[in-house]
Amino acid sequence: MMFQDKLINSHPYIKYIIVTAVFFLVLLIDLQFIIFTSRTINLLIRVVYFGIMALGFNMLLGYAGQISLGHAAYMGLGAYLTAYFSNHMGWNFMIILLLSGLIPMALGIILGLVALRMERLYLAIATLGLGVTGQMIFQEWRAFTRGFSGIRLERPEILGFAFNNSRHFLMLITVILLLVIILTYNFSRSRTGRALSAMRDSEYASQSLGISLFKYKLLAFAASSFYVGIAGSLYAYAERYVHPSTWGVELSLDMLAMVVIGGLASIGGSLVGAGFLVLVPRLTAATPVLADITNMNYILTGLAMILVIKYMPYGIYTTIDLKLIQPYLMGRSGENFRYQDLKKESDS
Amino acid sequence: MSVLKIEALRKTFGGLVAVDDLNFAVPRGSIYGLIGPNGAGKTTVFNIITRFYQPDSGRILFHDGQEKVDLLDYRVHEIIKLGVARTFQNVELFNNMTVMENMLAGGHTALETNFFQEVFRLPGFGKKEKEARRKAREVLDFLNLSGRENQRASAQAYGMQKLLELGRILMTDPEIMLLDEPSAGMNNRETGHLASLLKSIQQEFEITIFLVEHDMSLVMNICDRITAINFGRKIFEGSPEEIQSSEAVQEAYLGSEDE
Amino acid sequence: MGRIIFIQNIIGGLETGSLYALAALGVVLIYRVSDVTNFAQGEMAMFSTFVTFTVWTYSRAAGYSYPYLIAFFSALIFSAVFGYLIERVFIRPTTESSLLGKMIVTFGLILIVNGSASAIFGTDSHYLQRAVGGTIIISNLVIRPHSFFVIFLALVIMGVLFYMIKYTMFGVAIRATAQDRETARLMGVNTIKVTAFTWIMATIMGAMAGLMIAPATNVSTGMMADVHLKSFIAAVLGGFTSFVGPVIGGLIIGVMDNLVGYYISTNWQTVIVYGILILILIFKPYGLFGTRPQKKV
Repeated sequence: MMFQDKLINSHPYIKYIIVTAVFFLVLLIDLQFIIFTSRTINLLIRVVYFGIMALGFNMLLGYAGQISLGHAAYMGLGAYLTAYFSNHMGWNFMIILLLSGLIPMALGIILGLVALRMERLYLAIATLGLGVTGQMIFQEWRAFTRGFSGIRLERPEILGFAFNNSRHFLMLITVILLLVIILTYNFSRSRTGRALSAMRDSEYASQSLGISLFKYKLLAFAASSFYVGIAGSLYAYAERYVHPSTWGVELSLDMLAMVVIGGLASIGGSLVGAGFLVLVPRLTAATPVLADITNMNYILTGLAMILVIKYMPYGIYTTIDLKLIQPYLMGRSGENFRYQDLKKESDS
Repeated sequence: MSVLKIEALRKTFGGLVAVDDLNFAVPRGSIYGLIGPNGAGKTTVFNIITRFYQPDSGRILFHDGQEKVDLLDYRVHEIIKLGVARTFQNVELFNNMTVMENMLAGGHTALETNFFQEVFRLPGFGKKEKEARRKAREVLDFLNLSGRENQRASAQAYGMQKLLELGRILMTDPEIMLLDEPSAGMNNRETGHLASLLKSIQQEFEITIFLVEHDMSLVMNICDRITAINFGRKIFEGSPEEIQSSEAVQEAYLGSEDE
Repeated sequence: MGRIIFIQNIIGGLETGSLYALAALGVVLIYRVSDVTNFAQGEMAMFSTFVTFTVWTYSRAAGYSYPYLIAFFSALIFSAVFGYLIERVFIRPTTESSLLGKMIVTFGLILIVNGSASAIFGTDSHYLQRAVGGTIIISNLVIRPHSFFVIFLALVIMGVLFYMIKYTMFGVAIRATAQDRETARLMGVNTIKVTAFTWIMATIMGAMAGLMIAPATNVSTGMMADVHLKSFIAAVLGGFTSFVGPVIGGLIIGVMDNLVGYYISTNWQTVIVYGILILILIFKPYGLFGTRPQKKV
């Protein structure tokens, strides 16, 4: 126990590094002996880029307590930018990835300047309109998006090495995911991250302690649109095809479902949520009776959201983490209760 | 020498006068009380001073020893930098965060790490963060709250929550603390402990304390000077002894109990 | 000619506007009474319309004399039951959730109702007749009686609702619950009954809006997307704190929508209307008739 305590305290993200390392090892073995089907690999790729997306949305909803139903538009912008840059400019992968995050972020800041003066309910409706507008623009601005024909693009290349093999690509984005996780962890356990959560828990108290609501809401919006833009970029590279129908309100709802089901204000929760939403359609498609029902996965996701709110207000991951993982791994030392729940008393 | 001076303050809510031509001054280094029956406008005065409400007219002069400023020129999140901190009537803790995180969020303005230092854990981050945590532990120690650092704030007993809220603003090194009913919900023993805490905050940290309070024994016990208001208007100002013998004050309290 | 087209657009605007008003009023009613913003209102209306459509098709196939009338009344009955069930099964068990949690429950409902609709009714799009067919032409002005029926129906429903809220004991209970749920409960108001009733009422209003818009949009799982968004815009424009606000907001949005669609662009119609809303919100952040809730610190 002592050793574990010490390890956790000196290397707080050891948990994530170990999990990623094991995952990476499995991928290496798989690369050698081909254990997984290419279908499984594609599924894992989706979990990873949706995981980054969910982390971004969690930054907004979980850590900062702000809502948006228009984040699919930022993700779409990231995807289209990537397609455009890689087809027309032929820039370096890392530059494209960064720009695909930064440009949606800039747009998020500009729109946030207007939208963030509103209260939660109004914000939800305003961002819902924003999402509809975004999708509309993707459909109509053919010079940039090629409308309903969609755009094709190639997998990225780093220093002459092309990631055409999906297994290589999966390794690449796993590394990016780990990077994003570490940055998120650092962010959430520092002055800025605490200011976001303080704002979520009590607007009055945080203001009186010098936290400018407007500044930090804008920051949450900016950070989450950056993440989501990056996820969009990886989506484009992964699927090698970008189409306007992907970026509807349904995707924004998926983001919301992921963080609610997985766990608000939690890194592991974001990933579990992403896994849940990617795997549920697969599992229903493979289950005899359920497979015959159209859109069964919608129904299951919706039910899961409501059941989680009722019975596991911390989300699936966090509930397991609090009940099983932390008592064993962390003993008394972890920062145990930093997650947001959806019970009444947590209203500000 | 007054640290806070209220001049001709007036606030109406849609025709209803909540604060009416109010004047008083809080001397530096004192414990100052604001009392009055329910609905007298005490919390409204606090909300105006801490900039949650905009008054119709009047001035709120704040003198930190060097500069004299009108708080009305500042916004709600800016006054903490001047040294004006407050607590809330119905405890406003960050419920989903730990006790330690509540303290660190209290030190928000004092902690000077920037976004990039935090995200990439650049040099300078660790030292400042450690310093903030050390200070938080000191304050928690002072309040007898140590050992609870990693517990959830909302899991604390009500009296503890009140103390934690007090500790949170001690993190800001304030010039003046505005405490809205600090003893509400506390039992006698806890109130006694609070009284000695407030006294030592006043003496050791040299912080001016300005409080709204219902518990008269606490007020009379620790306040150096008291203003009594009713219907938003000042009815009396003086020392605890003078307040106790004031007919106007007795009438205000008895009158309101008849209703 | 220009003037006639303009008048036609106004009438068309009032027609769709009164549907937005109905749907918006349903949303605001629920919001005021139970603190839930029902983002699933549109999907629930879609589901009710599908049921109505099914009854209509069946009645026609069976050769009944008034298939539409049968369908219309079955819509009323079904939506009342449906609203009650949704409230009972999904909303009531989650009253102990935070405001955000309650909002998220309705996002979950969107998925459940939409998924069930495509599972049960399929994803095709179907024709549904107008309540009143035919056209009337008065000196170049083409008028559909259906438009007047829609406006009339909306007025009747809203009239009944406003009368109830204003003059009946149950209306007093609704207003008391909307004002302060806890106090109302302590005063002996059966807030659970009031909440269930508002869900029933709101679902009926949504279903009527769906049924009336169906001839224009056809019956499909995506039929309510636009109406739903517009009704929310109408509620925001009018203000969530008033019952009259969303009605006027709905009419304004309906007329504006039609004018923008005709004179500027049908493709960008929704986007432009939404843009105008944002502009208005910058100057009136709580809507045209809404008031700023008093902060209690």
